[in-house]
Amino acid sequence: MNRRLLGVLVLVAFTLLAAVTAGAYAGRQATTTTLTMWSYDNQDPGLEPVLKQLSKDFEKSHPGVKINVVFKSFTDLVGTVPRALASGSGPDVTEGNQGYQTDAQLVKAKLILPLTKYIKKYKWDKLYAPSTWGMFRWTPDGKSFGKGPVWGIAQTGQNVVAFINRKKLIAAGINPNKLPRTYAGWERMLATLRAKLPADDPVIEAGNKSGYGFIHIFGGIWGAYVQPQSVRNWVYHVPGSRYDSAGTIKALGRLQAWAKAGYFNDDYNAVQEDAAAGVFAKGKGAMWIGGDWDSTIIKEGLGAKNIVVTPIPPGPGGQWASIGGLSGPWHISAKTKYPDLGAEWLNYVITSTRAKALMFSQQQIPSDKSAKAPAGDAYLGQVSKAFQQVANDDGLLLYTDWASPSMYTTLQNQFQLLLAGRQTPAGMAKAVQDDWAKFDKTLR
Amino acid sequence: MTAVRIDRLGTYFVLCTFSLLALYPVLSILFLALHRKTDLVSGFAIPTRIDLSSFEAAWTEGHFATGFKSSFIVAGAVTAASAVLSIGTGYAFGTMRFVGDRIVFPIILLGIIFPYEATVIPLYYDFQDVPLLHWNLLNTYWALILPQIGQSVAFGTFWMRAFFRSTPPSLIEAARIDGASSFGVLWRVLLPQAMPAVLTMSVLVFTYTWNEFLLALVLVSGTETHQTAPLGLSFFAGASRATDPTKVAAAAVLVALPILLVYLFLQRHFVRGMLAGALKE
Amino acid sequence: MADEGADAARPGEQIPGAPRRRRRGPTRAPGDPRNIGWLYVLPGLAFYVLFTLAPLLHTVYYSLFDWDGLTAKTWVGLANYGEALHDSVLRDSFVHSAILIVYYAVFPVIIGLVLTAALTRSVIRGFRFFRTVLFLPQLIAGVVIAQAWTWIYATEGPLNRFLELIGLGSLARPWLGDFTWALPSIGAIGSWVTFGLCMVLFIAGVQKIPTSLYDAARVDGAGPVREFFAVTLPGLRAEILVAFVLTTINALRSFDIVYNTTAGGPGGSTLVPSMYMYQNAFLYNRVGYAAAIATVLAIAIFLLAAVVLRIGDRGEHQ
Repeated sequence: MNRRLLGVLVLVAFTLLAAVTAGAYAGRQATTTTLTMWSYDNQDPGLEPVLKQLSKDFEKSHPGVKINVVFKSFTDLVGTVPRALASGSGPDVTEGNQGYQTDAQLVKAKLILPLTKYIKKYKWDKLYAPSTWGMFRWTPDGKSFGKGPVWGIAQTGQNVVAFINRKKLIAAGINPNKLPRTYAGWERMLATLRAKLPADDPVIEAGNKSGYGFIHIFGGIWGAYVQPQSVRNWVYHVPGSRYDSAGTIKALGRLQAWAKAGYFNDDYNAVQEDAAAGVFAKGKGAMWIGGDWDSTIIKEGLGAKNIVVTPIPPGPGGQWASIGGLSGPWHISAKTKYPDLGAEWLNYVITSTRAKALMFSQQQIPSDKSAKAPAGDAYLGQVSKAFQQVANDDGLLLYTDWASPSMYTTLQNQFQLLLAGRQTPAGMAKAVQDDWAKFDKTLR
Repeated sequence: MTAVRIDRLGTYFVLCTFSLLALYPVLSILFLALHRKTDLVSGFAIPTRIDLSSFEAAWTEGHFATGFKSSFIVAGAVTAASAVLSIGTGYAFGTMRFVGDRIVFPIILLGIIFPYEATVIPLYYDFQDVPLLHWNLLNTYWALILPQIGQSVAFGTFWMRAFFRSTPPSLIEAARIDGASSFGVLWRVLLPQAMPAVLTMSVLVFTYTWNEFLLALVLVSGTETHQTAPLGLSFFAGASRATDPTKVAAAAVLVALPILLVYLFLQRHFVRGMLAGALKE
Repeated sequence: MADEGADAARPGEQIPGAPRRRRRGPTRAPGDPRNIGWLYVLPGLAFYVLFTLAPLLHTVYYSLFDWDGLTAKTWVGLANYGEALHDSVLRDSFVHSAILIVYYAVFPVIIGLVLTAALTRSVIRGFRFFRTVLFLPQLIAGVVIAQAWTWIYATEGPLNRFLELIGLGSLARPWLGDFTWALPSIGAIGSWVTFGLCMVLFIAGVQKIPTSLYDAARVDGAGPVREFFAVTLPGLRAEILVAFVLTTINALRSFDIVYNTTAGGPGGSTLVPSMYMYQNAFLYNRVGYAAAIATVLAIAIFLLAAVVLRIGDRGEHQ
């Protein structure tokens, strides 16, 4: 009996190994063409249903083609996509991330294709203003950001704005239709809210578990103290740029002051940004400051009529600014068998009328600057205006984690320390600049 | 008499308390999973009705059909292969002497305390471009099966050697005098007795392989088709925990279920194996 | 090895103290070639060397380069180790690991011993059931454990609700998001994972200690405390050693749990060396430096194992 068991074990082992090999061969003879896309636009409601629906439409108009969209969290995708593309069995089309951590690596290792011929074919150059294309440009050695061919294309415009609960404004004696137009006024408003709200209700419901929550929130404060162009130069590694300017240090001090004054919820390090939006949508906190890709989540919770959407107003310089830019860059894998088909899908999800309609229906702003928000949706109008206001003022600060492969972790750690009172603004600014400088040396 | 009674009562009380402690997290996540997404669950909420919708959602959206298939294939192959290999090495070290056996055995033993995390970097690059053969084995089952066989040989050798050493030498001698070759002795005489030990080793190897995460994260995260169940759970949780914790809880329960089921039926083997001979049954 | 059974003399071995004899009995069957043992060992050994030892040496090799994993390598010799020596993040990660070892190994062993001393030494009916349950945490995948405990520690999770219920609501906090409490929280998870193992080991071990030893101690006038130190502790020596080895190994495999709960945050307060190595290799594209971290980690683990086994051995011979 026992020998038989051993025999069975051995048989099982060989059967499995045989099955594995057989499976590997069988997998190659598919009758349909399957394309795999990776995305971190996993907001539902939000872009996720848009991408799913558009892919279904694409399949209908392309018989024999199957589109498999895989949604991962931002950190999971960014952490696994370089290896996935390098393996040769990874996605055909995928989002990456602008900046030195991800896109620079993908370009340097020749894992993605330059999009030059598709830009020509589909006339994508009409989509964005010329300076916007900078965030997708890299020299083929992956060292110079903002120069060289274009490697990616984005679906939506994005920026970080404040979503405010109308009822709570009124309860605090603030007129929702006459919000402050200056940063100083904004800070006074926050103080009023803190004074008038119940003690256990935060002024700002924040979600920093993944570390980008405060990178986003900080942008609005930052814009009141520095020139947006200096921030963009720093991200693009223009020689001589610095993070530790007097303006930045002051702005960091303001963010720390907000934390000391008790504006944020206690558990911001345990909650993810999207989750915090959901919590705000259920009625906690007076406002949520974050990406407008979560606008639908908020609408579904509070109701469109109860929300005021605005960027944080400008400082003495008068320029509206916020962290923002375009959404994640879509790339075509250099190892895909179907680059043209992939480009066609991209063209469909970014430029088609159907795509724009679906995006608007989920309160997402198409990146195509010619897209007009349909009239009659006041909430969408607010979100759209909040983006335009900053974009037209040339105030989009991009995303500071783009500045080096380790910058995301550095910023995440430093913001957490700063807000907990364990780091000074000057100390943080120095730590961030040190990271930038260390990496900058490798680019020269 | 009463002192003994209190003694015993106290003992059972302590054991019950700590057993509850051991079960608590499992129960808590099971209860969470039995809720619907729309229930605003808070605390240790015992479900008022059993709702399996989260499990359905988790299974389909988390692509666990593929995840389970991958995990079964990998764990099965590793278990079977390392059983065969360990029987061999255990037999040799347990009953024979040969040149260098005193040196090689401790080297293999090293594998029990080995820091496997320190090997993932070269494994990644060597599987991406296999030396001499220039194959790309990333995102295949081989990438997970081969290293884990290597990793299991250490414990397997130790375990089977202990078993073979404990067989009476007279048994082996008798068979040899009858003219059996070393393989014959193994196959006909020792193996039938070894089945319980092999089974113990197998359930442990299966469990460790099923639960392996870092290797899967580094070597097969590029495509969904070869993701193991724990890796799938990690990605699923990252993508959905913010919006639907009940779904993620259901997924977690699903991933733990196979091992728990095997454990229920074979728990004696697990315990014996893990206490590694320090516990005399 | 502490846990080998009674050593029956293997064919051919000399029995200490016995008069010298000629090797009795064949060590191999008459038809088998000399050193046939190698034939049985080779396949297993090949897998082990190829996929465990060789990669470790390969890691050391990589650590001598500056490499982003995608383009060409640059030789830098020991520069990565120089950097590692001054890297406060790395140093902190080892401190965090040491703290986790206390939670995974020291606390459960101590608790296990104390409880065992308090429990009855007579046969416990139904111990099979308790043993089954107490062992459970050891078998659950780290990812699953992470999900379960993330929920327990959540702002609206069972722990905070329980604190509020018993009037300690002021202690409620975002455990895994708190600078001071994140690492102890993960430590508590570790204690949960290993305490059952220790309890089972010690309870079963204590039942093997002959009652005559306890009787003798009592006759000498020893109270329960003296009994514990004089009889129980020495009697459990082997079990304690096994417990420390198994639980320490558990502590060092905490990557799964850390990655899936806090990912090293907040502010790096829960970063462990394996996590830092992963970040450097696959997120920052600093493969050479990551390999150096891995090498340092490997050396630390081997040293630790050597120390634990040495202590165990020395105890044996007392």
